[in-house]
Amino acid sequence: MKDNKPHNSIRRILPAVVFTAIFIVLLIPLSYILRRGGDTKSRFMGFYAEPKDSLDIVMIGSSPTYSCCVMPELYGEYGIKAYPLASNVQRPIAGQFLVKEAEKTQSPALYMFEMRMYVGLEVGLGGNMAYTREVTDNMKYSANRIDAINAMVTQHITTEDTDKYTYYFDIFKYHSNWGNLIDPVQLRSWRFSSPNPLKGYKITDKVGPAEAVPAPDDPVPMDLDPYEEQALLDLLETLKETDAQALFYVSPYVLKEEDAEKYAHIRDVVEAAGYDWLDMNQYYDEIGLDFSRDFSDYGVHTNAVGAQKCTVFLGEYLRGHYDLPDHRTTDDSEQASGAVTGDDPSWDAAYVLWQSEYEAAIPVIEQRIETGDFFVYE
Amino acid sequence: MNLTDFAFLCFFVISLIVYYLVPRKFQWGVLLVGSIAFYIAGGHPILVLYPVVSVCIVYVCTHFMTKVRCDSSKDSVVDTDTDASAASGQGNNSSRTVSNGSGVGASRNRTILIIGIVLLLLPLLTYKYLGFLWKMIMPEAYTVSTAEASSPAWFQIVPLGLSYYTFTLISYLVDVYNGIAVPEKNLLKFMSFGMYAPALVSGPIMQYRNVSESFYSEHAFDPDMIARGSQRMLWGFFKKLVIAERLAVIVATVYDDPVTFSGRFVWLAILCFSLQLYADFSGLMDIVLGISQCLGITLPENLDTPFFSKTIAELWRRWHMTLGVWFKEYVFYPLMRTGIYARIQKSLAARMSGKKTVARRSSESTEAEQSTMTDKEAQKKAAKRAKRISTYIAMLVLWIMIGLWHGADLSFVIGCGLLQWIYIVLEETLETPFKKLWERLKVDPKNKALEALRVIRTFVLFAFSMLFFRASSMRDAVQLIGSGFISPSSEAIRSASAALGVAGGAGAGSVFGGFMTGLSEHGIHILNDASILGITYADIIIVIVSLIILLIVDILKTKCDVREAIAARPVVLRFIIWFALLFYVILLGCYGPGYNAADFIYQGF
Repeated sequence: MKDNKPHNSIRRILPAVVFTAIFIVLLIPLSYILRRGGDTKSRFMGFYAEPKDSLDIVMIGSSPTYSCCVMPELYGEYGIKAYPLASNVQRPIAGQFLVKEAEKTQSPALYMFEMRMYVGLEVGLGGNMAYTREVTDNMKYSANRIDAINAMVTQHITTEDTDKYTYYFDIFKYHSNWGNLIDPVQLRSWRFSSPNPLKGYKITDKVGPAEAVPAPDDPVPMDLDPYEEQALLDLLETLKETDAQALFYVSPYVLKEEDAEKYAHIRDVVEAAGYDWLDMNQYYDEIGLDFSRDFSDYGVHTNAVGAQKCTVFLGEYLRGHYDLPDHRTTDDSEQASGAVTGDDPSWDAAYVLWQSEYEAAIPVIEQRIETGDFFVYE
Repeated sequence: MNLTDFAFLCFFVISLIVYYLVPRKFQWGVLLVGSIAFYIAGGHPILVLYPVVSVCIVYVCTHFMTKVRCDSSKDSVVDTDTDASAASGQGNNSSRTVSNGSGVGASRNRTILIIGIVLLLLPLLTYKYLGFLWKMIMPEAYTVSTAEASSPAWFQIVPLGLSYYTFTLISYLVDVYNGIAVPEKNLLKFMSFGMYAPALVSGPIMQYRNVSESFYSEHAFDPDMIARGSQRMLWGFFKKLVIAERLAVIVATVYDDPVTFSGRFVWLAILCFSLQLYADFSGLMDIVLGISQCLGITLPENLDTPFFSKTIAELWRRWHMTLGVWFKEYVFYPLMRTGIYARIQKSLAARMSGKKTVARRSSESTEAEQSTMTDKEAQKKAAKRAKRISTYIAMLVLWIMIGLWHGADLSFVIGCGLLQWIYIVLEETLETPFKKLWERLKVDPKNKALEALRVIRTFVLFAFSMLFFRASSMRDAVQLIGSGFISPSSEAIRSASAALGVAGGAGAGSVFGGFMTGLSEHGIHILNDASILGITYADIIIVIVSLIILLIVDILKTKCDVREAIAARPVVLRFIIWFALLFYVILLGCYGPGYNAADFIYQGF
């Protein structure tokens, strides 16, 4: 009888243990499915779907990252595989955690960091939970994600999501999206890994004309918000642990003088750390940008045409400055006729898809300019 | 900290682990520390002094009572038989009842008892009823802002669970005085009972003599018991988070604007509030009792499918049962033993009796029969009637007090007190005439259709009275009743629909109309759109389905122990059932960011 006691105890506990284990196993994919759908979720899932160590460049930053550079075009015309791990108004503090996230499955030769948010103020960036959740709620569950949450959910949050546990377990936030359970697109996200058709690029055919403001020639460096300054230093520290080079860049937009002064400071810091700096606002003519036609929302984000021009510029710059593999398997003459193939069918398909969408966007953009059908803020 | 908060669940899990890791004889210590921590986490740590001081007062009082008994030369100790001790519900206390004797000892103990009760009631009366008295005596001078402005800051925060622990401690004090509970000698141990957090927040009101054995026994780790407790908690979460929270929105939509949402909306809201109240309260009790079951502690049930009751009296025997028992044992019965009550009864009997010839007609005889009642018979009948009427008077006092317990406002006194009394008196008065009626009509009074009608009638009467419970004031309650008889204006409904963002255009004035119009315009996406009731159409469907599930389970509960019945099934089926419920609550519960989870209704007492 005495010998049976531990056995009996195990038998009695076993159902509860099994129940709990099954619950945890089911909870993770359920959480992934219930997460809010949208282009950011699709973009991050696409990153996780990329084969291991297949990317040449990982691009980190806010919305201009995936609207200014056309990843399929960079692949199709320059043979470079770049993928944006980017989200709307991505807080600078997220950068170091996204590098660590990227390093889990990729070994890019180059990281590119879009720097617009670094000139912002933490009280604004950190106050809206959406800017934080777009990052944390699109990462797979991991220790790195917990670290990101601990760093990003601070006293600055002024919206209702102040409890960290709702970030650790985002099902608390998204449980009411049970409609996702009957959406085939969302159901595919159970492993939080699903290829993105345009490799993270977001194409738009909207137009919002602006007037180019010439970038100041030699702005006096201005200090950043202390939180953003620290975020930059932490990012540089994290980069040292990788073998990758880094390019800190600013995409074209209507620049304010104060921003230019802060960029000057950032340039000094990153170059002192041994990394590269590129301010595309110094190269409007070289890019061929026309602010009256190439922007979707009055000088903030480029549209399909503007993005194509920026990508050509970037492609040339990257080919000229970095030793990156060339994934194209066709020669220049075939490329000129548009019959491009590379070494990756999914990227080939992305390039073909982008070409068709770009071709479709051009007449729409022309039409909008002609009729004055410009972008309207919601 | 709310019992449905994630933080509380984490706290509970940690406490549970520690509870079963410590040596069993110190498990009560874990309860005490956990209860104090829970109370402090409630937001105002200083308020923990209220229950601590109350427990100390009771401890000192019972200590002195015991000392007086021992010192008094006229104490008599009587050994009772086990039947008596079982009837009184004594647990591990020895089966003795101890009288206070007579003379000086009894008088001293009575004084100690009164002082103890007064000291216990003082904070309750001050916090809860001072404003009410001010409002009644000087209505022109009283406004909420005046009351807040003239009260110190500490006074504006009511100690958590004030009335629950006060009543629990009063019951202990009285039981010790009456000698049916043996006082606990260890102050800290007693404090673990007096401040037991789950019951402190919202009941049930415990009687020491009934729960002490369960409380202080050494509890071995029992996975089955923890599983049952967790299952019960889950069921409570289902009722609170899925049903009550949604119904609360519908109720608030109507109660906040009865002018717009008049007519059928008012009656719907009245119905919904009763269901909300039941789901909320019974959900809370399931969580509290589930927590206790995990700890090996058996607390008294507080609800027993009350909406299956056939009379209001029966309903109140199945609704908030521990409150009813408390008022019965510590207010009603003592009241009926007072000299005033006896005098009232005697006076009524004297008025009603007399040498009268009473014509009596028997309903069973074929011809009328007249007989002259003798004095003795007349007196007997008069005494019986006098007893009944004096009981009604005592009940009136009782129900007014119950009404006041629910809230310090006339609406509570009427809704939860006076109306209930009227219902019960009418039920008792009309019982005999109705019995005769059924006999005359040759209708079986126990036939299922009649029973069903009684159940519905009882629910409707109860729901109507709860209108007063929910209304902010007597005036609002009256306005709501008046609105119930006015048809809603189409214009007002349309603009309210527009303000709520209701889809469905012209049909949005009614739930069904809005749904059908929206379905034809937006397809299945209409489910995510807001209805005129303030919740989405999907939420309406969820509430209906959930109420059906609740009804089925409550019906099953009348026949068997549902959790035990499930436990007897094969493991795969058990897992399916519990996983289904768990994910049902996770997916459809109203919690998390974006939801403003309402406190449990009975938590604020």
